[in-house]
Amino acid sequence: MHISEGVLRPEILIGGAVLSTALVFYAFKTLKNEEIPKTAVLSALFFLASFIHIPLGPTSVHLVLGGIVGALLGPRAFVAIFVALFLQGILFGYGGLTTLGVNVFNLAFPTLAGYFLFRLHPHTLWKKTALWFCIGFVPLGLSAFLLSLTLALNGEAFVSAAQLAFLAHLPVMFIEGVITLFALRFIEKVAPAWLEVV
Amino acid sequence: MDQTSHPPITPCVALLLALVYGCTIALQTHMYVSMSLILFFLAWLKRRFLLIIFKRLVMLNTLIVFIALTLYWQHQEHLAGLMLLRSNLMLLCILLLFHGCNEFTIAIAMQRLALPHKITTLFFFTSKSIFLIRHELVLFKNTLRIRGFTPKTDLLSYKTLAGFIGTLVIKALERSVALQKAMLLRGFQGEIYTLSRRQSLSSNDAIATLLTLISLFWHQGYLL
Amino acid sequence: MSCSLTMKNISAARNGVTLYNGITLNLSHKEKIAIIGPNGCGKTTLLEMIAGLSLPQSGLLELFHRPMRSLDDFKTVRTMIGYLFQDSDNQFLAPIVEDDVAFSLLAQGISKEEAALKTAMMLQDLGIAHLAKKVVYHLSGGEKKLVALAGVLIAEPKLMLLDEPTNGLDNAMQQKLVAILRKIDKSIIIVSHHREFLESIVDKIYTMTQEGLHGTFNASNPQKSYIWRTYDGHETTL
Repeated sequence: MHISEGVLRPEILIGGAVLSTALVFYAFKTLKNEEIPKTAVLSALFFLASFIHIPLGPTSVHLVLGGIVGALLGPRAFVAIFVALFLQGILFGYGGLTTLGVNVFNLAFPTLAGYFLFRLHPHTLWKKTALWFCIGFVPLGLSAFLLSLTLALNGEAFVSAAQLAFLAHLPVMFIEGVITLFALRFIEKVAPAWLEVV
Repeated sequence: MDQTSHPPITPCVALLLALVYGCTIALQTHMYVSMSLILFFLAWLKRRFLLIIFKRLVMLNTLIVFIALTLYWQHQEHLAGLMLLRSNLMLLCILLLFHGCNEFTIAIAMQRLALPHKITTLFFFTSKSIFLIRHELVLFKNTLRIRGFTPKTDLLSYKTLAGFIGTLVIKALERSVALQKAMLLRGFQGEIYTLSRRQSLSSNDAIATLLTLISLFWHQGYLL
Repeated sequence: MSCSLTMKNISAARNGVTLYNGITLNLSHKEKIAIIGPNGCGKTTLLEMIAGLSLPQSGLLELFHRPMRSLDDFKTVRTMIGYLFQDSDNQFLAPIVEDDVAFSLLAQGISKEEAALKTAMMLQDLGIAHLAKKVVYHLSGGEKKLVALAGVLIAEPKLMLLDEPTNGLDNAMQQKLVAILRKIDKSIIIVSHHREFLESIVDKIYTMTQEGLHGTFNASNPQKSYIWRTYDGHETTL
């Protein structure tokens, strides 16, 4: 999910950095003191999602949980994901510092889709199921698309890698969708107050 | 762990070095042997942990090698080599600098860098949450193991794991409410303070800074 | 007699369910009391109302002779109240022990030098000076409780609210906590279900039921027999 250090051309690194700086800066400037706790705990959740492995046949994939984080945080997700990716880059070498801009944009921007989907009011159970699946599926799908697009923009030689990367993410999107759906259902059953849209 | 026991390189210096080294290497189109100078010094400082660090580097290389192979396959040898070298230099730099650091070390380093209070507060609260939520994660994994439950690719496993994710989310949100109460009760004024004075820099910090600059601007031993 | 706290006919609800109607309680200066009751009966809610985290549905709440009608009213008394969370992890704001203990002082604008001195003395008093530079979250449950307590005590509150202070502590640590709390010369309300622990500290024990606070038990005078009603309605003679 993260693009590693040293892969991308300077133009793309700088472009990503500028874009993310603007978005993170705006989200950060408007962040109120009383919103810091919620942003912090969901940033931590995003940070730790990479360590939750879901079995998939003989291998396993890790979760991203961007949809849930986006649904609960809205535009604040930019700040949360920035902090989480910064710490992942420093402590584990996932992504890194120079690619932080690109990775924050690729992962945080799509979570806005999770936010908007979460605010729709489905009237039937079937629609709700589909919607909640999409809260997981769509942001990750968009992230995978942006990741592939970034690689493709990096040069013609990277197009095949970009295509393979997108294909590799297809099963992950479904898993993220299913887990998000069941996780939201679980929260609805146990503590529905947290899912109330304010 | 005692956060004030001195790591070989002061964390806030390490942050700055990683940033300068990374940003400069990322812009290079030709590589020189001299660029690894700083890494040798850091490797010597972390000599007891080199095996662990290299294992981690190999693991992180899977994706990079995969991309390099697709480039090599298209006869872009120079690009493939450049990418591999750049990636590994930058990754190794970060791994060597921050081995043994945890989320709290980084948060404290952010505070020492005198960034805006809101961002350091966020780093403090995020590191706290990481610690507490990770604890829940470990407990859950242990519970599964004790019950002899091995997650498989089936609906039951997915539902079990999703239930756990749901629990984590609820607990995380409850923690955020508790944290908000603590901020109110303890008179939070927009800042997390520290009693310690400005950290004095060690000779290792000075040597590392000097070597980083030499690595970046003294090009010797053309590689590609 | 000066009163730290006066509650008259306080009622509260949680998620639309009434927890209690008509709690009445007077706490005089430097009086130590305990409130016991089953889980979920609203003990923590009561403490949170006194601390100004939530408002009662109805009734009168006075702190230090000042009526508290809105959450804003609590601003004036905030620094006089110390609150100890049930889960110590929730208490901490700074990751290093000494920084967290000094937090209230520094937030009030006291100089670093003075705060450092007071913090060192406080840690010394509680016997945890050796923990000063540690990360709070890495400590044992008992050590965390003492650090949290130090962070509350250092602000010199007039009224202390302790939520289940013995939760998860071993016997030795409970004894230590008893010794510390007995020495504190302030108004204290302890919420707990640990009667043995309470008897050695407080002047009165209240039992909380839906109807209000019942019966008192004077622990400082153990020769006398007292009758108080437990939460399940049985009358017990001591």
